[in-house]
Amino acid sequence: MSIGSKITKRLVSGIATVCVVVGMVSSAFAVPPNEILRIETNQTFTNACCVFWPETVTVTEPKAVVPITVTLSTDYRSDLDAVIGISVNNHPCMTEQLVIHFAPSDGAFHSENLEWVVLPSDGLIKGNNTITLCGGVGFNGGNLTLGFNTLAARISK
Amino acid sequence: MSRISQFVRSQSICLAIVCLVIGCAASAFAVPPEETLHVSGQITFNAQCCVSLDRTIAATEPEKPVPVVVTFEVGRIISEGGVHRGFLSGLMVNGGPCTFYGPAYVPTILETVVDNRTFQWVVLPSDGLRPGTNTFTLCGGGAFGSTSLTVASITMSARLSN
Repeated sequence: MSIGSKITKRLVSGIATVCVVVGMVSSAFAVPPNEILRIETNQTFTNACCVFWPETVTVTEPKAVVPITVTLSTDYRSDLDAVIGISVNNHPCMTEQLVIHFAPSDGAFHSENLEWVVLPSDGLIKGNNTITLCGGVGFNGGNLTLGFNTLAARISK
Repeated sequence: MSRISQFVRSQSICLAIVCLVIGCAASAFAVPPEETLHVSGQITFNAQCCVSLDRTIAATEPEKPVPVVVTFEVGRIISEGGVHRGFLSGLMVNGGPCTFYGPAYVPTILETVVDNRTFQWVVLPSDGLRPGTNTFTLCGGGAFGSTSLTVASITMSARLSN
């Protein structure tokens, strides 16, 4: 093999390595669209704690499973104190957080930003994981209306 | 030059190129200053929804726009006044109409001091994002009439989801 072809071969393999590295670096910063959700309709829930609600995001875990952060940012009205939690891969509703009752007659909403940290020991698995909103109102049910809201999951690097 | 030294040299050049590319790629993902805004000190908004509140950040989209997560944090709410209560907040994307991309109600239920409040808004490509620079301007005002809202600080940031 001539020196020229050796150099060409090394150059090609070097460029290939660079492309792979660029791809890996880019994907490390990626946030696939299914990790975020925006709801633009009011949803009213009347159940007592806790049932699954129709808001789900998906995150893809690497081979070595790492924690994720889930954020719910929402407007709401509720005639009783309510709890909102998340379910990981359809496991029971966990880490519920309290939302205070707020239902003035003028129809105004309140807003809350709730954040959860999900650890691998909470049931995360390699590959796709679903995070579903869950919760309930009072001890025997009530009326909780979630207004415009966003749900986002972010994998820790 | 021996074949060994030639080999070492060529491998060193490759390694240097890889390091350079990693450095460039990482810096490309650093948060540009126009994507964040922090204003401290007493700030008063006095408006009826929905008008521009004159606070803007920007984010640069790639050729194929991707969703943007905008976070708006209101520092300690000092006071809220007006005949009607309730203050809404949203975004004007690229100077478009004031729209709610998530929760909108800035809590004004208490007469006394309340804590910081955070809003997470998701702006989708179909909302008018385009390749290149996109602006996100805070907008809002009283839900039921002209309302005054005074806060200790505001923070805005945009995170591209690409």
